[in-house]
Order: sequence, then C-alpha cells, then structure tokens
Amino acid sequence: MLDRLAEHAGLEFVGAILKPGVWARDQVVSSWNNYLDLVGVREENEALHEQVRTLSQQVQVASEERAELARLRALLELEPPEGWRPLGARVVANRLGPQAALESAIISRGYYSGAGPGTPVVTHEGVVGRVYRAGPYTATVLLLTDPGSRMAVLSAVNRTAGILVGTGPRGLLEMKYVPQNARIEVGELVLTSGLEGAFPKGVPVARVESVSQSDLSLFQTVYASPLADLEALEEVLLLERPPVQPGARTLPLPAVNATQGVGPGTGHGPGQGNGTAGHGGQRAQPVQSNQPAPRAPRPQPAQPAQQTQQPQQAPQPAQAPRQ
Amino acid sequence: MNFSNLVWWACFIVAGVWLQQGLPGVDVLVAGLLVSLQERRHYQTFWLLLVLLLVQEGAGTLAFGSTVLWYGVLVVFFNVGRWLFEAENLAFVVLLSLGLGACHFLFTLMMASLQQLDIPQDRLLLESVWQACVVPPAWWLTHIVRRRCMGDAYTV
Repeated sequence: MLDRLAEHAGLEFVGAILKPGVWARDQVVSSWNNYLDLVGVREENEALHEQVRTLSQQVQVASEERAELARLRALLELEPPEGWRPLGARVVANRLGPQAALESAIISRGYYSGAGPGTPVVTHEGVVGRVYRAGPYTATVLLLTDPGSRMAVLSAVNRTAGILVGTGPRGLLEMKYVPQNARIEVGELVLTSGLEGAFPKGVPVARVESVSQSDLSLFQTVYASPLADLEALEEVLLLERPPVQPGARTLPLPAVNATQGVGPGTGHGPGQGNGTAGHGGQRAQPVQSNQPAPRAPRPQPAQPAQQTQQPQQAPQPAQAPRQ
Repeated sequence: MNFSNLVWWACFIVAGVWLQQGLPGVDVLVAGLLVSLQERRHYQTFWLLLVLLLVQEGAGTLAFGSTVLWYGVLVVFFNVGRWLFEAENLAFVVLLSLGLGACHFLFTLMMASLQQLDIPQDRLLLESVWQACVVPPAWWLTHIVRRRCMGDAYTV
C-alpha cells in the first residue's frame, strides 16, 4: 500500500518536479541542437547551393560544348570539293563599329592563316559568303545577303544559271538574269556554278522561294532564301584554294588586295563568277593580268599537264549566263 | 601620358569594342574622345584619335576615310560649340550627339555612294538615331568612371 502511495504520490511529485526541468532541459538541448543543426544546415545549404551553381554552370558549359560538338561534327562531315582545303574559323563578331555598313561578319582567321580576300566561306548548311577584307589573323566576311554580293549559281535540277544577289539584311536573295523561257521551280536548290573558280562548283547556296514572270522584263524574277543561317553564325569553314602546280598556267583573276579586299568594285560582270561586284556593277572591270594571283589561284586543273601546253586564255568578257 | 592613364584608356577601348559588338553600326568609343577633348589634353587626344581611327576603320567595311570625317566633325563641332557652351555641359553633349547622329547618316550614305555601295537606308537611319541616343549616356559614364578611377587630376 505504501508502495502504491509512494508510486502515486511521491513518484508523481518527483515526476512533476522533474518533468518541467527535463522538459526545459530537453527544450534547451533541442533548441541548442536545432541551432547547431541550423548552423550546419545553413552551411550545408550554402555548400549545396554553391554545388548547384557549379553544376549548373558545368551543365551549361557542357550543353554549350555539346551543341558546339554537334556543329563541328556537321562541319567535319561536310566533304570539301576536291582539291579545296577546309579551314575552320570562329565568328568573332558580326557588324562592328560605325563603318560596318555592309552585311559582314568578323572571323578568327586572316591571310596568314588561310583567309585571304576572296576565300569562300561556307557552313555545313551552305555558302555564307566570301572573305572581303583580311588582316594577318582576322578577316571580314561579306555575307550573301549584302546587296553588293554577286555569285554565279545554277539551279540543281534544271541547271538554270543566274547571278545570285543579296537584297539586304534578313532579306531574300534575288537570282538575276534567268531568262523567261528557262525552267526553274520553287523549292529547287541553288548551287554554285564554279565559274571563274572563285567558288568550287556544286556547293548549296539557297533554295528557290518564288518564281514570277514579268511582261516588262526579259528575265524572270526569282527569289531564294539562303540555306545557311546567317543571323546565327558561330563557326564557319573557309575553303582554301588548291595550290597552283609548278609550271601550270592559270587564267588571270581579279587582283586581290589585303587592305582593299575583293569587295565592291573589284567584282565581275554578270555571268562572270562569284565576285562581289559593286552596286550597279559600274566598276566591275576584270583585271587583265598575266601574273597568277598569289592568293587566288584557280582550282587545280584535272589535267595540269595538258593545261600547261595550252596557251593562256584571255578572260571572258562579261556576259549574261546562258541556258 | 603616364602609365595608369595609358591603362585606363586601354581598358576603355577594350570595353568600348565589346559594347560595340552589341550595338552594330554605333560608335561607343566616340564618348572617350569627347572626354579627352574636354580634358584639353591635346597630346592624349591625338594618340587616342589615332588608335580609335585604326580600330573603327579596321572593323568597318567602308574604304578608309569615313572615320576621319566622323571624328574630324566631332573635333570641329566641339571647338565651335565650346565658344557658346560650357564643354562639360550636358546640353552641349546632347546637341553634339544630335549633330553626330546626323553626320553619321550623311557621311555613311555619302561614302557608300562614292564607293557605289548599296546600303539599306532605313537601317542606317535607325543606327544614326541610336548613335545620337548612345553618346550622352556613354559620355556621362566615361566621365564618371574616369573621375572615379583617375581622380580629379584628369577631370574637366
């Protein structure tokens, strides 16, 4: 009975005394532990946040590298025309500065590294343009869309020739000098014709968007959109011309100048290749020269031995492309 | 021109070129030239002018000469305007920037015509407006940063 009394009274009393103390102690210890945990959690949280930031950056870099890898693989898969050496280059900037009036991009190669004036610039999608001005290790590329850009082209299916001319930023390309009776279809690919050797033959350039005929003109009005995404260029391929065989004679080419470039004014008349003739082509005069152009040799001839025996040919006068 | 001043201008040019990458067709570096003119340090202005000429002409696609005209007009406008205004007055800078914007349009169009180039005039007009709008804040920022970095010795 005393045991029961002791249990019910004394123990409860002790319990009543101890419990608040224990509760208080537990609370203090718990609070302290929580505080300590909180400090640890905060530190851990900060560490985890840092880790998340680092990993996010790594993921970002990795995804960027993966995208770059895909682009570079696509570029590598592009088989350059025979004899033309591909050289990769990065696009450093687009139009830069107040004097960048033309549609252009700046690339990370110059004439010391294979980007002489006139060098064709392509991506795995299609032609981008050609080198306009070149410094030792940096060059400016004149894009297809510039109104001063001229390029001799052929349609892929019907083999209709024309001159592809830019119409300005974000604009379509106009294929000029396509006769009224020539066949060309919407959706047809447009390829470089390889005339004059400025571009290799058969590189895709654009896709025909519209064809219309006018009663007032001798030619059809053909518009095409460039295949290469010229607004988002990051890496490009330069097609370095094949070296001239010793003893092989070459046709005279328009003179190129590292400071003046090959741009407007040094171009070619209609049907004479891929020059970037100036507005209206009034200054388009083929340069008569018996010296082989140092940085603009013609593509390697298929039979150089035969060519060496042939007399040097005079440059063809400007003429409209024939059917 | 001491070493720190040289470093400051080098940093300014680097930053300006990066800014110009984001603003195609706009000259941000002209703000530095304006600050240098206001400092009346002719030797510094001469070298800065020379470097900026090379930078802008090198990056551009027009034949050499456009930037010479452009900066020449800035120097002329500045010296003429200084007779009427305080050189560091914001109103003067705004007027100057308007004149520069107009000259940007006229000179580019003129040089393109002389070179028989066909350039989109609507874009050129837009860039000229941008040019006029960019100069005052760029000048103000350059002025403030230069005063902070270089102290009062280099202020106007």
